[in-house]
Amino acid sequence: MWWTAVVMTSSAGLLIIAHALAALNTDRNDESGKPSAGGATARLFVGAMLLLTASGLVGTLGKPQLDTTDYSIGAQDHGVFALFAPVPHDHTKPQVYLRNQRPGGPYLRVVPWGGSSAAQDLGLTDSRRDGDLAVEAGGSLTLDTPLRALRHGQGVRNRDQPMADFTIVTRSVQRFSVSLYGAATIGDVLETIERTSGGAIQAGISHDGRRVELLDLTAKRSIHLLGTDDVGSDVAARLIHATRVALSIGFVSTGIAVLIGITFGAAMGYFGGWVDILGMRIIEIFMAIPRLFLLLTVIAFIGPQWNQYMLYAMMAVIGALSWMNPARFIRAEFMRLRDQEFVQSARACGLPVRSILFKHMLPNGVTPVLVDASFTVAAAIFIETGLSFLGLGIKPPGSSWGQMLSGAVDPASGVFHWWLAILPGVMIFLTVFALNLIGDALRDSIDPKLKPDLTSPPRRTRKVRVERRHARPGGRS
Amino acid sequence: MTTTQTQTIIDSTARPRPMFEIADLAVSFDSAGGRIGAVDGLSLAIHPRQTVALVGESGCGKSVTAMTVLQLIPRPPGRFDRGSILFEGRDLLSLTEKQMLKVRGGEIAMIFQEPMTSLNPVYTIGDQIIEAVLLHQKVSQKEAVEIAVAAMDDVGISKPAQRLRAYPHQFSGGMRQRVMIAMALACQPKLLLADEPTTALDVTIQAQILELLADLQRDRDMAMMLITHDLGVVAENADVVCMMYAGRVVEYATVYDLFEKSHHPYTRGLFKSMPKLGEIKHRLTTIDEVTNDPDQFKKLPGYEKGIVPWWPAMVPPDDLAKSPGRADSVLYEIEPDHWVGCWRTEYLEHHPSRRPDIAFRRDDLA
Repeated sequence: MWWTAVVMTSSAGLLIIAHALAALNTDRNDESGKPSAGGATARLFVGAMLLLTASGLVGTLGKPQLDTTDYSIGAQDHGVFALFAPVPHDHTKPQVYLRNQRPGGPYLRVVPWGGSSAAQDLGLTDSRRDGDLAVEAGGSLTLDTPLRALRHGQGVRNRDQPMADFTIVTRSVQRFSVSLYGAATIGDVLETIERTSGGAIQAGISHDGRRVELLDLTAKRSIHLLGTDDVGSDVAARLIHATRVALSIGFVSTGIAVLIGITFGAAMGYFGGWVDILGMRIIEIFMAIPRLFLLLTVIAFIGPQWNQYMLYAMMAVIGALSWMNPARFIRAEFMRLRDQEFVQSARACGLPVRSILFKHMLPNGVTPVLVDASFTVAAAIFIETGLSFLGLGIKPPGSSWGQMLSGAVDPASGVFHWWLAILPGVMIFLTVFALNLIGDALRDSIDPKLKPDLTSPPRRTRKVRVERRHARPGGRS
Repeated sequence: MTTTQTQTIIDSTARPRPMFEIADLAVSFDSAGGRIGAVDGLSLAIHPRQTVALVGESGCGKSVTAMTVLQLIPRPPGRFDRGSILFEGRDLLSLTEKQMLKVRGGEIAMIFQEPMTSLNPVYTIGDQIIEAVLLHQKVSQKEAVEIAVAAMDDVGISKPAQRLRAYPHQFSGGMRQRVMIAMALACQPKLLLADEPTTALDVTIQAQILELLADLQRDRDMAMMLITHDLGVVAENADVVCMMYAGRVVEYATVYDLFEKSHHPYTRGLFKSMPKLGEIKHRLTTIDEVTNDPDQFKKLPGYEKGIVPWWPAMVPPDDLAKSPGRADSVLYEIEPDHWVGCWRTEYLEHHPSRRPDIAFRRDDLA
């Protein structure tokens, strides 16, 4: 799954570049005046974008998020940028969760995260959720915390272990079980783990006192090509996940905008009169609302417990505030089409209004909206990126290019890791650039005035062709 | 006077009832400069298998009349001020939009002037005909295709099944007009409103299309309201002519009567302004030259009593013409089956003639 995403993203990237080159090429050497290579690439590219969006949507709407964090390292890894890395590796942050099952009991079980149903049974689907705290609300773990104080959790049954009293779900170590006989505090538990593993596992408490942390010193470390960020998340994986977030916000919010806009604009353009006047006033009201500030307000109302729905809130708000342009385009088109004879003839045939509007008029008038939509997608991505950069949009563990950009500066040390800024920056640039290219290409292919460009000074090759094409037997010259 | 009225009543019972009748129709539009009357006091009647031609220059209200029949006038700014449109006993003006959907295309079909733009460019010919068929007839998709093929065959398009999959741009103007006719006739309407069906076509195609319409009309007992400004088309195809000017009917007669003995100065001017074959003239008479001559308006029998042809540039002979809420002109039956639009005067107010209704068909003569 990870690799599918990698392949898709890189192919999308290649297509972007290919399209950019093709577009530049066709601009220069367009002899036939027809959209040829550029058009085909643009179509391919649109296809790839749609595919990416689909995958992004599935990823966003479906339960499991892309596993972006590698807990066996936990510290910042600079990947291929290690050469430029001034900060030495730091291995102090393994992340593990302790769940109490039956307080006072003598048995601890450690289960690996992946593939085990135990983690899901415990409800630990999201590694950084607050509900996973092992201690009673408000408390924090210390070495002296008595095991009795640990919160009650559900018991977990499976075939090998009928019932354990404590379970640690971790990514960093293999499955094992130890007896906690005689242990009274967390310190005792950690000591037991270290002793039982013969020093292979280091155990400790996280500095925020929320988690028990295990580090398998013998475990193989995975490779992070683009390195990891400050909490140990793989940058490449986060970039890919952020692509899905950005594209799904872009396309879904534009989809919402286009749907509202078409319905609204169609009614205004077709019925005219007071519907039109009222509609235009509503549009003006909406245009007066600054999108960014309304988004900030909405975000202010979304509490931290609703963070996982932030994505949808942003889609809805951006969509609800971007429909004015599509509506105006459709209105203008429908006003033109309304008096066309085929619409009159459709009415004279007794077709219902719905069919006239959406079956007969819409396909004839939707092109300007399509052009505008590609720019709207780019704008929506910009807004999301900007908000996330300010720390108001997608919050960890979700990933977003803007959020990754802002993470380029280490908040603790103030050190700027330029590669952490460049990668999401390049992604934002390429995506928005590609969408603008699509918009331009669509507009050019629709505009009849641009098609046979015979007015610009012809190049040598074109001149020959043009003359040949226009030569008539018996004509002048 | 009593005898005249009795006579009228007897006459009307003896005559066949028209299938379609417009009585004293008035339509006006709101505009920035106030209310503008597009049609004022129009009356006509159409019998089955009959062609009534609505003739007049641009902007005289021909198309507005046809659009009003199907309630296609946008309201506002349009408004139906007066009158009724009776189709088989129902007043079309009082029908709701939902009821109108059944009438449009199903019972009354319309074909438009511009075949080049009357078909939706993004759908195939077949899609468009089949959609209309499915809308008005309870048939399956398969049967609808068959009906569409038959309709295409009827209008003389070769390889109809194949052509159903073609797009409008693949057809020539004449073929598109045939498709429009096929589409209009696929649902077996009883009345066809043909709004200048041949204006955009060249003369050969025009003749073909009109012949086709006449054939189809004969086969299906269909009535037709033919809107045109081409007097040649009128002479060849119409049974009854309704000559319009500035929203009023100026003359209403059978096509033979109108061409042989026109009574209204405008009609006379119109005929004089046309070149005639075999006649050498340096300069044709203009309509204005006829209508600007006051003597032309004094020729009707009963001029002294107040039977004066209506004309907008003229001073009304009577204050009655200015009465608000009523048409300033009335149709007066100057001789049997020949009406002339006259000013509303005291005399005509007390001697009303019956509403224009001629059951004449040129086929019946043969």
